[in-house]
Amino acid sequence: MTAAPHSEVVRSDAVEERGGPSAGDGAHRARQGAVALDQAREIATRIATNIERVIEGKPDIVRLALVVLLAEGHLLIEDVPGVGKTKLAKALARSIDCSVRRLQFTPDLLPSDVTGVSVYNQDSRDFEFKPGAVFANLVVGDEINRASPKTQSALLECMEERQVTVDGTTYYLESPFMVVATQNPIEMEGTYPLPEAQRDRFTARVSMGYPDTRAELAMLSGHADHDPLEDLRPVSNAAEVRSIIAAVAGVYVSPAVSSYVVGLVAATRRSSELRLGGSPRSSLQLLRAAKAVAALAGREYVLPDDVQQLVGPVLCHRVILTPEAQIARRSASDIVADCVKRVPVPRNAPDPTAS
Amino acid sequence: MTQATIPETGTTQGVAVDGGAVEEGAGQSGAADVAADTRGAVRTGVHDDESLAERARSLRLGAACGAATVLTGAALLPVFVNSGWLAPAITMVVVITLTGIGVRSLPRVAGLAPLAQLLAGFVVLNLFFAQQHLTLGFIPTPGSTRDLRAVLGEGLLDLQAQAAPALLLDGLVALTAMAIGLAAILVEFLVIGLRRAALGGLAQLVIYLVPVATLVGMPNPISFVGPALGYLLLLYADGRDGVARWGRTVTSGNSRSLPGLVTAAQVGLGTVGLGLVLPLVIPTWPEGLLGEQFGGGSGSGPGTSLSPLARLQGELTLPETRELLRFETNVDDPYYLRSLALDTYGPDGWSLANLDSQVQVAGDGLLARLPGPQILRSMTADISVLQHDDRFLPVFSSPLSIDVAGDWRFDENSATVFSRDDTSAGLEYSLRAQQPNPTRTQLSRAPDLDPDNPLQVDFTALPTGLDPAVAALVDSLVAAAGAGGPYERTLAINNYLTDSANGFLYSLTTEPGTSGDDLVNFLENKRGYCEQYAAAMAVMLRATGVPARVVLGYTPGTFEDGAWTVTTDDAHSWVEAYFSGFGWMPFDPTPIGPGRAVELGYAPRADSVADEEQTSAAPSVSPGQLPGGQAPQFDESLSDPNTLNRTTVQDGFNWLPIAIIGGLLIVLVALLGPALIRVRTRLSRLRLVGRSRAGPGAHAAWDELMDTATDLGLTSRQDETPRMLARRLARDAMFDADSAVAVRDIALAEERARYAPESVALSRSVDLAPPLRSARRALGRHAGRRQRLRARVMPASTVNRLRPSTRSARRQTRPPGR
Repeated sequence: MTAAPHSEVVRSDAVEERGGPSAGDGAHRARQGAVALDQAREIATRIATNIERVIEGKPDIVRLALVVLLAEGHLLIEDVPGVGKTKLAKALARSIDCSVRRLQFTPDLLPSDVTGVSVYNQDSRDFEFKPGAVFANLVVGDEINRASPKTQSALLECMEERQVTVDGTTYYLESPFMVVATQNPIEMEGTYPLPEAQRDRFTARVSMGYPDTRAELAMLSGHADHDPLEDLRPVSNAAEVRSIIAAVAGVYVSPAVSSYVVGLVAATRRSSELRLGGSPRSSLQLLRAAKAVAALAGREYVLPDDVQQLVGPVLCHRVILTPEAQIARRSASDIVADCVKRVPVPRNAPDPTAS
Repeated sequence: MTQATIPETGTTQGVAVDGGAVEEGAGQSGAADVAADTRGAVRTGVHDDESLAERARSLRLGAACGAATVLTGAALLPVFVNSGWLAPAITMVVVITLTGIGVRSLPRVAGLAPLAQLLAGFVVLNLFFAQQHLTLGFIPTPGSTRDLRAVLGEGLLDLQAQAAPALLLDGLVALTAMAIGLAAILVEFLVIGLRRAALGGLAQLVIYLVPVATLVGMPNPISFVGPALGYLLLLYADGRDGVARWGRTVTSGNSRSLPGLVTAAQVGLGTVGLGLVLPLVIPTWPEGLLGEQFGGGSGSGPGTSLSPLARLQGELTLPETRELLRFETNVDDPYYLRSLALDTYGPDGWSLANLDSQVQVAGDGLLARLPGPQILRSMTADISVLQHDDRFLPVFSSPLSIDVAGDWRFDENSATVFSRDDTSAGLEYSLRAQQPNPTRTQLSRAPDLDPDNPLQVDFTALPTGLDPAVAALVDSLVAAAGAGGPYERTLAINNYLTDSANGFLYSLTTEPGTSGDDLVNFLENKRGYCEQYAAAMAVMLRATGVPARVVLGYTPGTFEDGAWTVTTDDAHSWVEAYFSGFGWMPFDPTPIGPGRAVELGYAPRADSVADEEQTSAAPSVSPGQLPGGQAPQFDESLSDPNTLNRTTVQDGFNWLPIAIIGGLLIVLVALLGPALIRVRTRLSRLRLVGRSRAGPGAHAAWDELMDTATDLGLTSRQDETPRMLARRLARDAMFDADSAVAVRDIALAEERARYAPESVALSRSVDLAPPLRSARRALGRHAGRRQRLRARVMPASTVNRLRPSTRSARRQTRPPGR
């Protein structure tokens, strides 16, 4: 399936929050090691600022990458060559002081290269497990569609279950664990497009989009002679990220918002223009990401606004259009946006004076 | 998924505009060119351009309005003898529709469409009915306007003279075209300007009422079907428009049916059911109630096989006297019994105008009522018919009620009781009547009627060929008496005819004269019987501008054993003159014997008594002067017996005022209901805001804010979250910083109330009353006075809530499950 290049941009919150979290958040800080929300927000802002030193003019994309990280999800960056997909992935990896592995997917890459392999150790006279590329906090998979399907599917288990099973032995992956994969939708020759099952495992897909003129000019003048990635220093570490993730998990979700999420995903399943709608996993990931958005805004509860701004990135790569919709040149993002329009924003308590 | 499961519909085509409604309706009758026009425009409006869509909407609705008006006009088909009036009427509608569409397509002046339409309608009227003075063949000039006014004036007269089905007179057709044009403008204004398609039916109702009110008997089905179709078309077009405004129309998978067909059928059936049941419990008016406006009927009045005057002479010259009636009454000196009035004077003398009354005497309503307040004496009489046999029933003047068997009707214009089918033979009937008994002083204060008053116009009409000698005689009489008011003029003529010094003699045989004019002959020969005297006096009265008519009837006859017996010898003819404030007053100029004549206090015979003033009060009349002794001042249009009688139709319990008051109340409730509900809701919400800061208070504040915005014309979408709405309100309504903060505070509170854990919502609650006040003020400031007024009188939030159609339309845009 060829998908037209989208530019789903996460809207920024124009209405600023007034007053920080003051009360009530303690009750929702369920997990151990969680930091207060304002602290989490501060760390996240630090990471985002750091990345933006490299990726200029794309604060929304950077934010979305962070959201996916905090939602313990995986990010698929899809766009034409040369817009900074790999740079975004590497910048994110470098901003956090944690283990990072990079995998260049090529047609001859083998599953064992991804997961690891047992080799015979002559000294111990035993098979010894050599961990593959996924044994890291951040795995950057470049041009993931160039690898063969069996190699791609080697990622499946580790992405969803955060574990690797080799020769019957299961090895657990560290937390945080995030796969940032890039994919080029234009040169499809000799590639293996990601199957639905695999696409569904990515929490969000973003398109970088071209930088605007000013950002591109700045890039030319500032970074023409050296790679800014070289200057990037870590501003956080794995432990901090773990604590933020714990804080995100404690964000409150009202029943109204949960039902809104379910309603939105169900709307994509009902849409007459979609052959395949969102999966239950997508509802889960949508809500998780929404919690991360709320946390990044320093808010201890999720709003429908948070959900709405994530619907595009989270759902668009999972749905499949009907042939009619394709012929009518409708894009997945249009159809998903239509679905959003059809679902009324819920209110939890029926008001006695309203209809 | 296989191909077979994919519905084959065109829904993916993104068709923004659907011309279906237009093509259906306008395909009828003369609006076809409008439809063709619209179809072309619809094709160009397919692309999703906002203004193009709006223009296409204007086209579609405009064409629907025009077609609906034409269909409604079909109701008038049975009112005219043929369909020649259609051309100007349809041209009118087409021109007005096209003008409306054209003007509305210009964004700046769209609001002026009704004015432009009025102008266009005026030009069309000029084109059809006043071509002579047009500049360049179509530009109206003062001259053409005068012509048009003359034509319309004629039309008004025709309206009174003609009965349905009416002849195609220019004036009537012009009036019809004008009415239909006005209806077209009104419909468009209601449907497109105010977006109230349902009210468009009001304008149609006006036209529909014409055949219902004027035609007697079962109305022609087309009178109902035309307007009904038009109204449905209007509602359908508006409904489609309402659905289209929510987005593309999404039809369910395989059905090719029209959207909303099931709902439409439900509503339609329900309405028809109600329409059948409700009339059973609603009081009704007699049919043709308003029909008299169209006046005098089929032309074959009752008893016209023989001229009434000829029969009068026949009765008087019968070789043997026959007893006609016997009656008993409660007064000592009953005045004459009237049979009928001759109200038209032509070259052939006095004749009877058409009688076409539907007023049954069989009710117990008041029939004739004299303009009060004045001294009246009531009388009752029990009459038994001996040998009288006529289609006119002899009654005393101004009968209030008549108790009689048979289909007798009362014609108010001539105060005549008549029947088409029954005769008076063998009847026994009783009646109650009023006799006016003013003093001469009172009568002399009666002013002349307004020259435009229909009474004055109709009852002073004389043929153009009247001998100038008559007029000269009248003038000299009036001048000699120095008479001023109508009563003094009447008296002068009365005195002339009744004064024996002038040589008038009673004679059943008339001498042929030399002038060839019976009237002039009589005035010269001074020989004649009651017919000549009454006819002459009536003509002379008319010549001096007093409304007058000739009455035929009987003198009371002879009194014996407590009963009066009327014979053929008592057949008589006299005059009635109309005086403002008193009604029709009888005068008898005929010198009949004192045994027959009844003296009237206000009309003394010149040769009888000198002490007229003493006899002015009849014995049985309660004496008394009018308060202040002033001549009563009346609005003649009100004291016109036609108007009076119409309001007191026939049944004792008068439904009309109750119905009118009830109807007004219903309309008032319908108009003010939403406003009242809105006020109540607002107050209860404000109380809630004041009482609780979290949860319910926040919801109440938010709902109030949303409803205020809706009332002021700012809409919200269902997928908008509180803060999105707050942002949009602040932007759309151009809030200043403070109001924007206020709206945001309310939105954030609502958000917390909805989505935050209760502890958070409670801990951060704020008093929302001040921000709500300032936000509402800011919204009002933005909206402008007209919007504010509309929000107050017809709050859209409440109206929408009361009207389920919007909600179902909204539901309809949601696609069905696959």
